[in-house]
Amino acid sequence: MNEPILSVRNLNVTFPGLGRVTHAVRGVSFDIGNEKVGLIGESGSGKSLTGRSIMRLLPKAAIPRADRLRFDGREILDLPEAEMRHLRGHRIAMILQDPKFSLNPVMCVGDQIAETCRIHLKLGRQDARLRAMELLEKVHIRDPERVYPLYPHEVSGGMGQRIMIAMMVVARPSLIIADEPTSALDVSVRAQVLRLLDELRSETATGLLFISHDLNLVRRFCDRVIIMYAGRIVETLPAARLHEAEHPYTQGLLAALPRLDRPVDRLAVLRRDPTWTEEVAP
Amino acid sequence: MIDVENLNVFYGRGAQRFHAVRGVSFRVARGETYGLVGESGSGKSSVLNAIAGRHTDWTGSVRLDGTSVDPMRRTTVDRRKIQIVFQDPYGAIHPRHTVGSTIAEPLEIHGLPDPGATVERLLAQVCLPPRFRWRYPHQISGGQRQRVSIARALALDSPILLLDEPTSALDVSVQAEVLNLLQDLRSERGLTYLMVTHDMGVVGHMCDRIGVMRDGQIIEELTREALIAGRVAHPYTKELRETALLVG
Repeated sequence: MNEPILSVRNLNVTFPGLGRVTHAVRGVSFDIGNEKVGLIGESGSGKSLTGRSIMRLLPKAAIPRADRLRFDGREILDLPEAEMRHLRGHRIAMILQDPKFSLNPVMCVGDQIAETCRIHLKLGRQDARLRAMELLEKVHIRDPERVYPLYPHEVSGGMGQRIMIAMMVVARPSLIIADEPTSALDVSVRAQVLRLLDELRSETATGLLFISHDLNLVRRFCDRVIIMYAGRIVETLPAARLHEAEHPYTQGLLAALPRLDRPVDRLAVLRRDPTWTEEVAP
Repeated sequence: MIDVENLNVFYGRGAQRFHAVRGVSFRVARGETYGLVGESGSGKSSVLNAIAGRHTDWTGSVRLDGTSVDPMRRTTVDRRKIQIVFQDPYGAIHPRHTVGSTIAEPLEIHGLPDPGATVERLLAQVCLPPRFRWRYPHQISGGQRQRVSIARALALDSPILLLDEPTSALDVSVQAEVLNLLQDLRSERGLTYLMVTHDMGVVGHMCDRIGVMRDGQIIEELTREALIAGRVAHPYTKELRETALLVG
């Protein structure tokens, strides 16, 4: 395999508190190449903190440490903030669950895309506006003229995610971190957004870290799945073989999922084993 | 138990008046769980809110336990027949009231005797320890909060529970616990559930019959068996169904 786009070794995130230290991410290591990697875990498993560590967008109190956090051949953990800011958006992009919080609430969505074009493609005002229109069309927004002047609060969740993706089409990042990008969307809109992400990736080599708690979705959409529990990676396996998971936690999650192809009278309840938090998966 | 006929729900006034639900009819028998599925904007929550009395601008007939309800005016008897469990347990519980006073509130409103003992009994029914009555919502987990809102919904011994996406804010493992709890309560107390959700896996697990909603109408009504076996007619139902299949 070529040099991976992202390589993480022994990532730890701690929150120093009064008297005790909360160890939220514990020795996480993984690589992402030109592929779609799903990161699954419950709330509090450290999956979002892992994603945010790569963006260096952690809460102020958090202390990240890693033996290696290499992106595109560069160590980014100690990169000065100014350089990091350049990386964000240009090379690493992030999509969050609710696009309303990622977009500027007092700027119409078309202008926000045009601004991206002016920064990345060095276009003039007029050209940027035309390009933004094209981009809206490219992310399958039927009526770009109508959508361009809307403000983020006036667009639906699916539309907002498409606008976020339109901005990424300009910047062409080589790593996309998507944190629950479709959790707030309806089934058919979700499928459209995922298809768009695929289209975006097909043009250039892009790694995608897809953070989600939806086992079904990750199994269908991703190439590989990483399962986190209490800050650790307990298992990594190909998405198509998720149902063959060996770790009792993954098996427990799968058993707890109500499924139409396996109707049961009572759902299995996950029994948590304290040893899961101690051992490191081989 | 729930008998809805030709329900139409409107929002807004004059030229802005929006016809959100168009002629929806369905029946839920005593002890049955009926699921309404559909996308946001399909009108499923509007149906729920009209039945619950949270929205008053509707026409048609809604009968609860044999008596019809008036859109504009609900009697105390009507109100005691029905309780809601909401999607976001944090938003549904007063953040500065303790768990105990949250559960006791309906008891006090309806002037029932000895709320203290009832709260203890209700906490036990939703499998929470008695000491939880002194806690505040931010001191307990999301799954525990949802148990608190279920306990509050049980407080008045209402025969009908409306469940508005009761587990979509929860993790899979916690969702399994809450769904099991809801099923146990239904069989122990003979409750009737009307559940709104977009998760076909949950619907197939919980509901005896399912109404698929789109653009304010029920486009298909089917039984749990038909849904599991894949005997669905409408392409939209097929699309929804496929999202809940893990292997396929």
